[in-house]
Amino acid sequence: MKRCSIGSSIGSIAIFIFLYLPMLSVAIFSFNASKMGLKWGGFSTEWYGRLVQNETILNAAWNTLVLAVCSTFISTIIGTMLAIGMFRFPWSRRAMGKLNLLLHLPVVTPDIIFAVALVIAFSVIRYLTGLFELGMASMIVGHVTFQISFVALAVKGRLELIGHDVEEAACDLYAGYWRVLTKVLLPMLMPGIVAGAMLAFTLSLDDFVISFFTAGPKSGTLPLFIYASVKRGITPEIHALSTIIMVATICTVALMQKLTPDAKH
Amino acid sequence: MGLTAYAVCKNYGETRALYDVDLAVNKGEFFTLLGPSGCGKTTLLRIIAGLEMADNGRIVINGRDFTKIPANRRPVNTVFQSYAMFPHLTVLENVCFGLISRSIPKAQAIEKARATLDLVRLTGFEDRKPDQLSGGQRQRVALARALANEPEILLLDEPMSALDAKLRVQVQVELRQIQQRLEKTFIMVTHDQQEALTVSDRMAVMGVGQVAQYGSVREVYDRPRNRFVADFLQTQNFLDAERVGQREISTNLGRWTLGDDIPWEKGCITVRPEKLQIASDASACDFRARVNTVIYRGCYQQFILDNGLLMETETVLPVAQGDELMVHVPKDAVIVLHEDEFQRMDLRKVI
Repeated sequence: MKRCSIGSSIGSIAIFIFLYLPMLSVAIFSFNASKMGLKWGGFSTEWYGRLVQNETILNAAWNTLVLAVCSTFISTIIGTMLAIGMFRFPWSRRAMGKLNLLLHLPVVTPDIIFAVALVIAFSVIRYLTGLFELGMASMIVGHVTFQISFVALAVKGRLELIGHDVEEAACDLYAGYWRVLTKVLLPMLMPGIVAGAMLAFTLSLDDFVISFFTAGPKSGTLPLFIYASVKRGITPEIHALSTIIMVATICTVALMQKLTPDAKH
Repeated sequence: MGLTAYAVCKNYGETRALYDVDLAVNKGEFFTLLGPSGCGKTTLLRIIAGLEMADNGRIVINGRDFTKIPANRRPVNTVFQSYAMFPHLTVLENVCFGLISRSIPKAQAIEKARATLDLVRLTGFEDRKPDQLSGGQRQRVALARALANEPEILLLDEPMSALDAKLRVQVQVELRQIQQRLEKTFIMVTHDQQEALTVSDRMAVMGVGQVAQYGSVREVYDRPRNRFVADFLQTQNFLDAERVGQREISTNLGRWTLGDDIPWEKGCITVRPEKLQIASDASACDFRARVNTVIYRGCYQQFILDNGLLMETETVLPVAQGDELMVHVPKDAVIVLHEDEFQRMDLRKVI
């Protein structure tokens, strides 16, 4: 078989440069000593230093992390339950088609529509019950609603891959439902669950639109902070912050690939 | 009594998978459900296992009614076609799974699992994961995993379909030996008649959702009851016939005397190719035919005759294309086929 030609490998490298050059430039400028403009003023880690002293930024970072961890935790459990319920219960073909559509809808719905819908829903609930002031709780609920579908789809892929055989074998070997779930189904689904959780986590980390609409006065996240500060002009601190977020995301993705080595099956 | 299934019905929507199937399997025998794909044999096995519930009918195992009881509380274990190994568990953990499900102490479970692995000659593989085993080894783990629980009935769903032809023959013999050693009731599903004949004491040939014939393997092989069974067991030569005497028929190849009574006026008979003989003299000749094709098969030889019949001889004879043969049809070679399609098992007789 003929190997790929030099031309196509150069082409793919060019595409990668195109993809990553903007991010790389942000990373480079985060080490730029000069405060203004595009002039290179020498290497400096000053902006990173300032970052960790800035109360607002640390607070936003903490909010982002709490939001991502909580929403991922909740959505992973609900999403996994949803996938198992959807693909292990003998639904009729028509019901299955509709459920599938419902599952895919949040994935393709524009964030902005989702966000507006959430705001309306929250205000109705607030009006009726007096609960649900916008804040961390409403943001977590908002994030969970769009994360569930991603988790469920990742788990669904895994469920379809492992088939019904092993569960039937476990039943045949005297396992009750709980034992089938904990000793067979969940361990075998784990790569899918982890992949779904990681995806949900990164989605939550860099979500802007839904956070923007559902955040309260004290629950601003990093993306919201960046947006607000960019309006006052892009500073090297923002570059530094963006670089940190980028590195964090890359680490999560790398971790995900490491944790799900058998995704290639 | 091992297993009795009374009038089992199963529908999938509009499709009838099983239509009023009766089945009786004696304790300690190797019973095979043989049939083409889609005949419902696997469905029947799954109903016995409890993995599927019958729409109607009863499943009785060793005298106890298990019709409504789910799979995890039935004293049966299954060897799945795909083996359905737990890929995240080691061989030993796989084999222990059923024992630990039933709250047998771990040490005892491990001891039992090791003994069963020894039975299937897999000692030394305890700590491997299923994906580190060959197909044949996986199959034996699946067998050990089921047998370790000492089920009252072992169910095998096409257990050898994933093995290559050579290994299959070897495993068939091993399986038969294990069954005879343990004196357990085995029920196997297969579409391979050779496999069924090799391992079973008795078998049932299934048509579409019904049992077409049951009996000892000899009975069914030597005396297929109807056209469907004969066709499935490849008797090859079918002839229309008319009854002319109590045990005499007339076909377009002449009049033949049979060893059996004939239940019809006009019907169908069949003769296995290997039962046809070359007549030693004209007095023994039942019909004459020209050889259209000679097929050399190594240990035997086949002739396709000009009247459409297929003939087999064990010894390789100097017969060439175009030769005329005098063929003798022995009395007991002719199988009289019944017109009915299905045979109902007489459950009282077996019990």
